Amino acid sequence: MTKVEVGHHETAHLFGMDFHVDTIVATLVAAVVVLGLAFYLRIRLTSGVPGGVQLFFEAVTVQMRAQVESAVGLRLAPFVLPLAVTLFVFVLLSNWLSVLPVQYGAGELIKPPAADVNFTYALALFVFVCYQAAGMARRGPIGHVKQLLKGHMGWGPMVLINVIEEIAKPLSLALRLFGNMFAGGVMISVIALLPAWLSWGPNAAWKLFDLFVGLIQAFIFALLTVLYFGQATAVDHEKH
Amino acid sequence: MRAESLAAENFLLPNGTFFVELAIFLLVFAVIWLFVVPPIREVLDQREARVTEAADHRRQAREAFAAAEDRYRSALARAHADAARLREQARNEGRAILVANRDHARDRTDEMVATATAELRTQAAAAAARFDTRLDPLAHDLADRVIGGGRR
Repeated sequence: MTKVEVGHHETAHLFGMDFHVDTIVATLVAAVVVLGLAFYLRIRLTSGVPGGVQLFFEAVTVQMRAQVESAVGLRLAPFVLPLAVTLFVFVLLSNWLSVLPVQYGAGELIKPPAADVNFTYALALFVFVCYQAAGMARRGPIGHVKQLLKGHMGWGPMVLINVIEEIAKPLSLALRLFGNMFAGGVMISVIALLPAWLSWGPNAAWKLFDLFVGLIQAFIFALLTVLYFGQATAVDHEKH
Repeated sequence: MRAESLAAENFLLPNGTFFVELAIFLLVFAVIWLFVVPPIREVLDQREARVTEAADHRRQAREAFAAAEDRYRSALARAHADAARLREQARNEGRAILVANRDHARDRTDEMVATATAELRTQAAAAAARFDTRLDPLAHDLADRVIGGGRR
């Protein structure tokens, strides 16, 4: 009887810490793919008729630039735009790794890195630190904290809710991506329990759906990052 | 499911992997920030500039075409007007020549008629004179014969 193992990783111990080797390998593969595309793009870059890779990056850049310009404004764009593009492309390719049917031992060799909280926590924490820093740079450290606590309601009991919201932002950002990609892996494991003559159908269907989920989640991650930047750098104009 | 291991290490808690993931992400971010997005923005700007330029060229060409068409139309209209004027002038000249020739012909006709009339008149006078000289003896002769025959 095959068992469904949840949250199991190949673990290495080093410097008194645990490292999930499979996640790191998968992330490295995704990084290598992204960097390969990036360097390929750099070589083939043209202002004439763009190739496929350039078209992809251009489409992502244009889309994200529209989001950044509407949510943040142009002042922060030189930083937020590359961040949003990186998040989208990196998360997208990481998620799409899950479609590769590479089996190793009991499980798949390359599981989507987002199925490990370490990956999503790292991204979300980086985003969190960046937009807090951007807020402080825009509104001053004191003004930023005051604005965070006040929110839209002014001083009052809502301050507590605002604190919770501020903590929930990076947590939900990380756990939403994790939950979606993790659930995809769990579904594949469950489908794998079916006999082989039957499991290929649901497997193919689910992997196709996983591609779609991976795209949506990558877009949501990048979009929410832009929106959080927008919220953190908004200046209150309503001084009565 | 190994409940002990899950309890010992909840998979929602990060571990050392976190730092490796962060490092990999920062590397990718740096590459995209420094090497991908700026040239892409540049290329997009270039293409936009090129599109604007092409639109400009098209507008200029359209204006030049419109101007040339205007020139062509006005030249055509001027040529039409010139032609009409020339035609009118030629018609006037022709009419003048016609009138002059007609007058000339009438003068000549009148002259010829006058000459012929005068000539006829002289000839008639001459003929009358000639008849006068011959008619008188003839009348006498005739009267003698009539009178003389009555006497016979």
